[in-house]
Amino acid sequence: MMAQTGDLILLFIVALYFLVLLLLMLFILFEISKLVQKDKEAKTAGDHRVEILFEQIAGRLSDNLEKQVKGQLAKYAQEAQSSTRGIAKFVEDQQKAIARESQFLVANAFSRTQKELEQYKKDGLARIDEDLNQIVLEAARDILGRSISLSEHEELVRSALEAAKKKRFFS
Amino acid sequence: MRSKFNDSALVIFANMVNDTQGVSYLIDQLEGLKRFLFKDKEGTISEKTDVSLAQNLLPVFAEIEEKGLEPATDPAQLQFLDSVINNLKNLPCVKTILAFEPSETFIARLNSDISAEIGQKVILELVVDRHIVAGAIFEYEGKVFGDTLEEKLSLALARLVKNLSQGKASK
Repeated sequence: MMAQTGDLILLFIVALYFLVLLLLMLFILFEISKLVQKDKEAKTAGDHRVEILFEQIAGRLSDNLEKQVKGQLAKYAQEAQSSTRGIAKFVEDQQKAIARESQFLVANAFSRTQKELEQYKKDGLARIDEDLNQIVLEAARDILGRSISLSEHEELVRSALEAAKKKRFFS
Repeated sequence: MRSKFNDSALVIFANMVNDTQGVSYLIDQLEGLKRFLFKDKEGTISEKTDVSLAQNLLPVFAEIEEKGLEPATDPAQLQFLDSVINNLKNLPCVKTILAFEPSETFIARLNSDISAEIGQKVILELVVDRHIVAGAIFEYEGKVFGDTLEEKLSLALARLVKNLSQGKASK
């Protein structure tokens, strides 16, 4: 019977020990959950803060970017404008140069053509003169040839022979 | 074999012709006489040819035979004919350009004058060219001499044209 009581006390102590242990665990769990809760709340608040901060930063950044982009665009626009002015001026100058060059070429070509025409006229007239000479010569030959009698021919041949003898052609 | 008889006979035959046409014709006739030789017929060439001898050759062979210039045998007669033909081919030639068709008489007279001037019998190579109008052109031993109306006409025409153009220019 004493042993049974001792066992019971032991059992009671063990059960008490486990109970306390359990209570302790529960307490710890409760604290942990409280901490987690706290942490969650803090995280949420933190996130929110980060969000706000991020929004602020993003806002500043986008303003900055916008300014920079606008500025760069304005710069490009200005450069393009001045470049366009430059191109327009270049084109205008080139047009003037081409116009001057063309006038010179036309004048040159005209003068050359005139000279060639003059030469052609001269050559043409010279050819006509030559042709006329030839025609007149042929006509004269024909007329004279027919109008010279046989005895006149013979006389002219004898005269040619006398001229050859005088020049000692046969010696 | 050349002998004084041959030379005299050559002269007689040469005097028969005045121009290249005459020479060709005579050579043809003499070549034709050769076929009457070696026919076992005795006598002179004219006897051997009998009626076949051309009219123009009759007096010539009569003279040669009378003067004893013709050999008696067939081979000698053949040699004689070849010698005459050769001599005719080698007669000096004077090319003469005329503006008209000359008569035989005129050709003979012209040949005589030129042969006398050169000092030996010549043959005239006659060419008719109406372009020279009148007068003559002689070619002998690579030399040329001309005295034509065509030359005088061309000169006169050239002077006239020059005067006219100068007259135009002065206007």
